[in-house]
Amino acid sequence: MKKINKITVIFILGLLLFTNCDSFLEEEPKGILQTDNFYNNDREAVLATNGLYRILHRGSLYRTRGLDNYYVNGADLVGPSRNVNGNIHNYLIDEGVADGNGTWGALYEIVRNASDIIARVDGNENLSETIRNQVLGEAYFMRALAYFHLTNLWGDVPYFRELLPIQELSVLTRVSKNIITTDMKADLEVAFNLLPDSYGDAELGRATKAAAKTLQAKYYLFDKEWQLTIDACNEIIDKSPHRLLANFADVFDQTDKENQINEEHIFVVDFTTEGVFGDAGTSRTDDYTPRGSRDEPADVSQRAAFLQDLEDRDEEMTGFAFAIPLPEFADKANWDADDLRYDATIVQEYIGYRLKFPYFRKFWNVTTTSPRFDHHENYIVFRLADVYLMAAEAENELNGPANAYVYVNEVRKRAFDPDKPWSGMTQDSFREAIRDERKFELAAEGHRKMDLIRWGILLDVVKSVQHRPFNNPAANIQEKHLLLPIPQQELLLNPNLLITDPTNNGYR
Amino acid sequence: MQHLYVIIKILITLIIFNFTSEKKQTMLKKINKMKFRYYTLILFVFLSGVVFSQSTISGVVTDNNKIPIPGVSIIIKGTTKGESTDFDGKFSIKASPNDVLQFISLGYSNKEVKVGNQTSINVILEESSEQLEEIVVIGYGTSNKKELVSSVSSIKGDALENQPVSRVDQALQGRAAGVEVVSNSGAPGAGATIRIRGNSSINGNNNPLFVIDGFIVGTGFNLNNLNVNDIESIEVLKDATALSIYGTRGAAGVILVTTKSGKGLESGKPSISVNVYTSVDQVTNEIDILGGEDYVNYVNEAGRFTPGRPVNFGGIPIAVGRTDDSLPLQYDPSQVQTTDWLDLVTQQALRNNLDISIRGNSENINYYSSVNYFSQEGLLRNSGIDRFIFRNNMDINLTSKLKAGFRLNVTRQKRENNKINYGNIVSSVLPIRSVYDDNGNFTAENPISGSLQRNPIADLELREDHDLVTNIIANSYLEYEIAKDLKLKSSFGATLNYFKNNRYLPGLLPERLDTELGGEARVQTNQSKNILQENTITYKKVFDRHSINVLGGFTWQKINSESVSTLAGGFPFDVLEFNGLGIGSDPETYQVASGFSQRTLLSYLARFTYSYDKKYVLTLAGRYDGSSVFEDGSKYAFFPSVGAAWNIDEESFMKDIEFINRFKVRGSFGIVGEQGISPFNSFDRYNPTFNYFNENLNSAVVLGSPASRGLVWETTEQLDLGLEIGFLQNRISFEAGYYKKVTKDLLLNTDIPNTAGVGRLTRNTGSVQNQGVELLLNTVNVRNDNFKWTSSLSISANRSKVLDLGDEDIILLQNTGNQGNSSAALIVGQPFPVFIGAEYLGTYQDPQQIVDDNRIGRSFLGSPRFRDLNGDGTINNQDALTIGSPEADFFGGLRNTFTYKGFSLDVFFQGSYGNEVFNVLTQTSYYGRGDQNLDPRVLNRWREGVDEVSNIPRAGTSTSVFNPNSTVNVEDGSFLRLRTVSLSYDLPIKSTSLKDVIRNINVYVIGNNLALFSNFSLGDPEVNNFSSGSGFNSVSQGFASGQYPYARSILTGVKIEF
Repeated sequence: MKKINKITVIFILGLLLFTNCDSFLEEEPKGILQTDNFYNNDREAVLATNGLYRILHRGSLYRTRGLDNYYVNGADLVGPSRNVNGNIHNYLIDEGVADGNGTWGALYEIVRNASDIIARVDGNENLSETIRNQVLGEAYFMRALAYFHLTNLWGDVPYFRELLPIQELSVLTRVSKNIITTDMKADLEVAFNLLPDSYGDAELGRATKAAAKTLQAKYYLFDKEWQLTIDACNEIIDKSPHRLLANFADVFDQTDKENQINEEHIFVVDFTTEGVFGDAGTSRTDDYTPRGSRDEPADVSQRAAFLQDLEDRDEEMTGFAFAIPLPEFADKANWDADDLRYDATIVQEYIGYRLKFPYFRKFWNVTTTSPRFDHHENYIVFRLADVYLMAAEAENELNGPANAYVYVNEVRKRAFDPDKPWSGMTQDSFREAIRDERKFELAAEGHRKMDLIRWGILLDVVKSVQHRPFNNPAANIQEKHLLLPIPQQELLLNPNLLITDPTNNGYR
Repeated sequence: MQHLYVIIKILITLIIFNFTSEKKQTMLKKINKMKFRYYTLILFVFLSGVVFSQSTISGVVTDNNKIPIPGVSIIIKGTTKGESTDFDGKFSIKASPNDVLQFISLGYSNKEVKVGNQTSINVILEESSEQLEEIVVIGYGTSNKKELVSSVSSIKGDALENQPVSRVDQALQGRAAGVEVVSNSGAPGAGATIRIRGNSSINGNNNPLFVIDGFIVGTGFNLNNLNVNDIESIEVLKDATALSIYGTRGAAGVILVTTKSGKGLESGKPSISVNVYTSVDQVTNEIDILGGEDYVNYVNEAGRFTPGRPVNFGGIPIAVGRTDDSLPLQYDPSQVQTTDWLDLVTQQALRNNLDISIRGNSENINYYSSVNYFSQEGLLRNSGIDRFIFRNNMDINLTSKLKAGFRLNVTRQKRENNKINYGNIVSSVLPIRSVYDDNGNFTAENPISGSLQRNPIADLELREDHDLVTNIIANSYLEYEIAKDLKLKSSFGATLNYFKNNRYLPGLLPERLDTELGGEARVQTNQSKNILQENTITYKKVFDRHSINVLGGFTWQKINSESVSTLAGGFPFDVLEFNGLGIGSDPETYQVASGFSQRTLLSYLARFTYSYDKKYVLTLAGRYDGSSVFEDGSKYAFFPSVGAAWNIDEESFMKDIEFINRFKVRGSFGIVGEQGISPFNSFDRYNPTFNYFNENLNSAVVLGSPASRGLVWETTEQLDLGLEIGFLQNRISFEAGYYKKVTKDLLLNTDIPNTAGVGRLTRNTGSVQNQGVELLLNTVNVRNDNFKWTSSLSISANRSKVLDLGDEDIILLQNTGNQGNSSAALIVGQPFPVFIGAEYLGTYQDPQQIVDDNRIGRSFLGSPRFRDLNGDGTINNQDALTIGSPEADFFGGLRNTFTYKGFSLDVFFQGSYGNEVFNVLTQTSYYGRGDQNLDPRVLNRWREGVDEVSNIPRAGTSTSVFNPNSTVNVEDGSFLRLRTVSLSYDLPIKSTSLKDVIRNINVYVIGNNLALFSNFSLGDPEVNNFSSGSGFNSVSQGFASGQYPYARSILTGVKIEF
């Protein structure tokens, strides 16, 4: 019996080892970053803002034709070289069809992350004042940028300023665009006060005072608050370190990876090749670059020679060409014959060969150091020339052309040699002229469609402009297309989005 | 014929009873088809002859130890007349001197005695290995089949021997009722999807839990680590009483694998077995792709399509589209060549297997050791598996009361991964692309889109990608008999898995050469550890007619894994590859990552079985399970069950019914669980990421998927009813089962609006139901001296239904195509999943239709036409209908085995009826997306002036616009496959001098996947699983996208036993 006891005792001891079971089932969340243990020092706070910039890399925003689908396409300047992206170009947009669901999602991701940062950083004594201000400023700026796109594309949208519980964020209703834009203008003033004027070389690409002010100016301009627009633009023109480059083409020359950002760029989304994460490089450049076997050169018999010449230059043409100029815009006859910007903007011939289609030279990059799908070209979100033109437009609307010339002529100075400054216009003729000036200066930079919408002429323009045979937007565009429908997927998950507007921006 | 009548009546009653009235009508039609098969089969059996004769002989049947054996069947050979022995082993039977008596009892070898002049015959029956058939392995123990209240499918020895399979899941295919095994792909070592009685979870796990020799290896266990020839038996546990002992991990079913031991062998004589086979695998059921010239004609036609040509229609000009011949042709059809990529990347593949095993027992020790070497080339060149498995099992009686033993399995395998993406070749490597360009370099582009595309041949020749896996499963136990009938058992086991993946992309790959990226190496490792400690106490007691069996237990388990992955690029040369990560000269591309995950479980379990006089059996079983993945307060849950069985054949009133020798009804009800969430699920987190400022790399974080709080276990209530009946001394045995499972508190990953967060939120919401029938019929059709023919037919049908999805009526599953809306959904009241899509109406052939559909400017003559359900002029999810389901009406297998002298022929058919398959490639190949491959169906497309009544869309009308998923995508996936024909022969060595050394030599030839009968358009309909993974993927089945083909193989081998 002794033996029995010994063995039984061992068994029982084995069991006793685990009488304190509760701790055995505790989770040790090793390897994850819990939100509640974060923002202990400056570096952690900066990591969080870096995340905001990363979201801008989403394909549905700046990396591919995410935002461009709705800002660049469907106007009078840009179309594809073949039958692609048909729903967008032909205004076949509808609930569930090219309704911008991904873009909507990425923008709200910015809103949530920025709101989370603001709540956790505001008054956080673990952080130095410098970093706390900068991080807060960046978060306010990013959130205002997200709401800028949301209100531009959808009008009234769900609106929140803090990271509410999921249950609450899932049942939001649409809020009047005016309320949102009013708040954002105020937030941008806060951001302007908190942000630094500039950064060191290693941090170029972060939001600055000028970036916040430019976005604020855009909000004012879109709301036709002319004086506030002028004030904001003057702030940038007079006090920011940004300058117009002497040569128009240089603004877009990003072939040198080490020297991409120039003085005229106010805010860019930074892309790089061979990055360590999937969407580090942009593939938007591919949309503006001819495609190897089909698009170059027009005379097929020259193809071999052309390819050889390209190779000698360490270049290739290998993109998608989803975005080439429409025939009228590419036609030099429709430009001022002396406009130096034509050759910097449009390319019809390259190294002596006539291309099958005209292309946007300002955005292409044919060097092999900028590989397909993985280009390093930054997306220029805001640049100074736009600020000048906004000021000119606002000044003309408010007081007539007298004091507006100074702004627009500053931009035109480098476009003509000898200079062709404006003068002697009526308010109306200035207004017409500035519309064209914006077209030639800012073509394909993501401003045109919103310009046409705020001037109230999008439908007229789209119906009258010439498209290539495979596109026919004129037959389809309607008033409702000024806004996108709230994405179908989102409506299914949150029917409250139909409360304020059961027609969903006219789409049902 | 009366017998036949009774059988059929029972069968039909059962089937009708098993279905709810709503589905009865449709089901009955299908059952009528099934019934026909039964009729013919049963008829066959009865035709095998019945003869009668006269006289009286009596005697006693005993075993080796002179202990009487009750219940032995004594049959006069060649007749159906028979008797059986009583409790004292005594019998008496009328027979004539020329008759031969057959003595048959389960667990013993059959014996035949010629009557002659004898009036008294005493017989000694040898115990046989067939005894195992009576004993069924269940969770934490074994059960006598009579005392089993559960539904357990048992697959034994010979069904597993010499099968041309490298994995256990393949061996299960078509062999166990209620178990659906679908081969995901024909890739070497690829897993199959196993579903036991349907999907019981949506997000959680639907893969069965694997338990090897009592050790819980989990649901994700890599079955490549197990040698099929080491397996003694496989038991599939299906009902609640069997499963509830596994608590939170039992809901998807449990598969128990028992490996061989030396038990039951003659003492002191080791048995050595050598088994060698070689097989040749070939691609079969190839996928058809449009060739170069036809492809170019289509592309040219698409390029000339313009939306113009207005037709005046009631004063409104309507653009009907036209083919503009003035536009240049993009390709010259006469200059086009065709590359048959599929042919270039596939090969005839060899498979070799060698097994050597030794087993035996002496007084206090029994052992089994084996070595297995297995190598398999893939059908795709440069892929395959090379594997060693070493197994050592031993049981030792330390003292008369103390017993110990261990099971050890060590696997080392190298798997050459596919260097190419077969599905991509099917869908998008065009026939007009050449392998090499004019300069002899690999081409790097899709010639239509101009975008970089991997070159499959370059991939095959240049890429390195393989997995190295070392897996050790070790468990040992100590069993002690405290007192008579009372045993304590404690076991400790561990599974250690070390995984390493090496990948190298040389700089010479065309897509890398193009951009001068240099080489890139990636090394990933994962170490996982699974430790299980179990303690059980059992008490077994038989007194008078009562029998009690009690089990209690306590177990804990810890499973964790640690991973590291590294990547470096910019290799200036390709010599060191992944062995020289430091050579990667481009720091910008360096990537390092590591991870950790752990879950722990703590459980108490108990089972109580009481049986009275072998007639009535009652079992109560349950497990109180605790899991780390739930928050405090919800960690524990209790899963109880109850089951009962009635062995009607033991009743006195049945004694007179001679032809029924086994008759049992059983039923059980209980709750099992599923913990379907991942570790650390309840913590809000930031995900680490990166960003650049002016080309400078910076770390970053963004908010991760939302944490899910307050979750509890998923629970599945299961009702199981079964009938087992054996006729004519078990020459016909029939089992029927009905089950109904309702899973509640589903751990559902519900979509949240984009405003609320990224990804999905897990909630306890919704419920689903599965019910079905399982029928198994085993017959011995013919049995005489030299010839035996047996059949086994198993048919199962499962009907799933979504009962509730919380706040939603529908949950869309992922979009599977590269165009189109969601293709599958969960819809309340429907099976899950169902395919959804619009109704395809053909093409527009009349401008009036364009006007009627409000499609002016959007659709043209020859454009695809879909039914616009809500008439809003747009085809989107709101126009989606349920258009099919991957759920089969029924599936099953039919096995016929013929033995004649030394020959044995086994013919196995397997099939599925009434399931639909979603052809993902229709989205590109049927509508003609420019840079993708085309389906030969488009040869008959709508063409202006040529064929304006075709219902296949016109080239160019749908290339760049949204094409919804529709009825065109869904095809009938029914199939019947001649899965295996195997012929083996025992060489007649008994008459030679070899017999002193060699016990048996068996040579065999096996053909696998010899014929397929199916109407599916994209190769093999069974190769259709979107993913076998967990989460939503686990219910998204039935999507064919040109996955890895399934091989036809011819295998020859020899097995020698010493």
